[in-house]
Amino acid sequence: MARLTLTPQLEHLRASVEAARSTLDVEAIHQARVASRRLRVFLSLGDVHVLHDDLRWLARGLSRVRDLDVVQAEGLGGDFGHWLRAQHEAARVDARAVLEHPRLDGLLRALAFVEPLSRRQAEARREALVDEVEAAWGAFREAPGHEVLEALHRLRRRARSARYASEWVGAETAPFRRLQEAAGAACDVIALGALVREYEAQASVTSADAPQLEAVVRERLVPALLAQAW
Amino acid sequence: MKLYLVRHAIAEDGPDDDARALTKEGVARFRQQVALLERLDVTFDRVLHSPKKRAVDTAELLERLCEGDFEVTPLLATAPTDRLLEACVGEAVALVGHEPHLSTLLAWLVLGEKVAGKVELKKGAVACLDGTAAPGQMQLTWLLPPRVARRAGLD
Repeated sequence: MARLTLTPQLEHLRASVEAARSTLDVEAIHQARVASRRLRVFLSLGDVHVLHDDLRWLARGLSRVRDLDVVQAEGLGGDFGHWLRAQHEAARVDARAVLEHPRLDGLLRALAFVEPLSRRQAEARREALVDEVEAAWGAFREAPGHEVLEALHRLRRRARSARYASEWVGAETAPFRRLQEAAGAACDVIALGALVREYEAQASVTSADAPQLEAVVRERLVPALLAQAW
Repeated sequence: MKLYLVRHAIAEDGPDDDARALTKEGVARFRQQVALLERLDVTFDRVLHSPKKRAVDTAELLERLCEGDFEVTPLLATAPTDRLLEACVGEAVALVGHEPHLSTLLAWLVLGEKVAGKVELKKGAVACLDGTAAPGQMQLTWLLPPRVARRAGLD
């Protein structure tokens, strides 16, 4: 039975990192983050523990610039929009520090020699990840109001892992992608709420926006997700 | 802090130094070493390791002793520098690397001088240092060559 190799995603990560280093292009940064997550799932499928934390460090180090990019795409104006643009620029500078960190060079160097995976082992582990999506979905459905946002985040992460695991073994990805995207849309609104709160704290202003955004997630997006995604 | 210097286990020969994997014997012997460390209640809150495959594989075998994060760093694949010392943050940190860099690091931390060959670190050996990760500021507490675990018959 053929073995699975991480080479295609490693090449994608290398190319994305190279592009991001030279231009700080937001799409290249995003692609580096996505590749790092796919590679983490590959390591999970092989029950490999080392390099996981390095890939998570990379994804986290690049996440703020992406989150701000998503919000900026809404074209928000006023003081908040101005603050968002300044935060976005600062996040790009922080991303550069991650991209130029020796840890990333070590990571790329080490990933080149990760052993190929047995397909049978990968498929068995994928089944376990699918079970985790089922469990997260059940927990999300049953979550009391004050825990629903946390359950939503967990569901999104589980769906993403199952999707990437399915990609690695060549299984169907569509149900997990739909779930990930639906949960992701709700999580983007929550992230916007968090940015509003951060802005308020820094600018010493208050508004009703943040609680309203969380109410939108609880009252509209969560029921829509429950009705359609899975 | 406690700093554990871990030399990678026995590895294959090969033309690409980064790619050399552990041998079966190397894995088996280092598992004995890990079992002994476990009996000694050794745990790590961070494991830093070189990106060379034999160090990555050795770090993987330390997984059950690690209560925190793993971190790959090219600083462990070269002669020790101030930047490596700055990376040694934590209460119980393991550094998985190579010779002659590890014994040079040991001498630097204990004696204050970057000299190689003052301490023999066999493949799979572990040295425990206590103190502050700065030149001349650490004490060598113990050194565990792999044959101790082997003779104890641990698996």
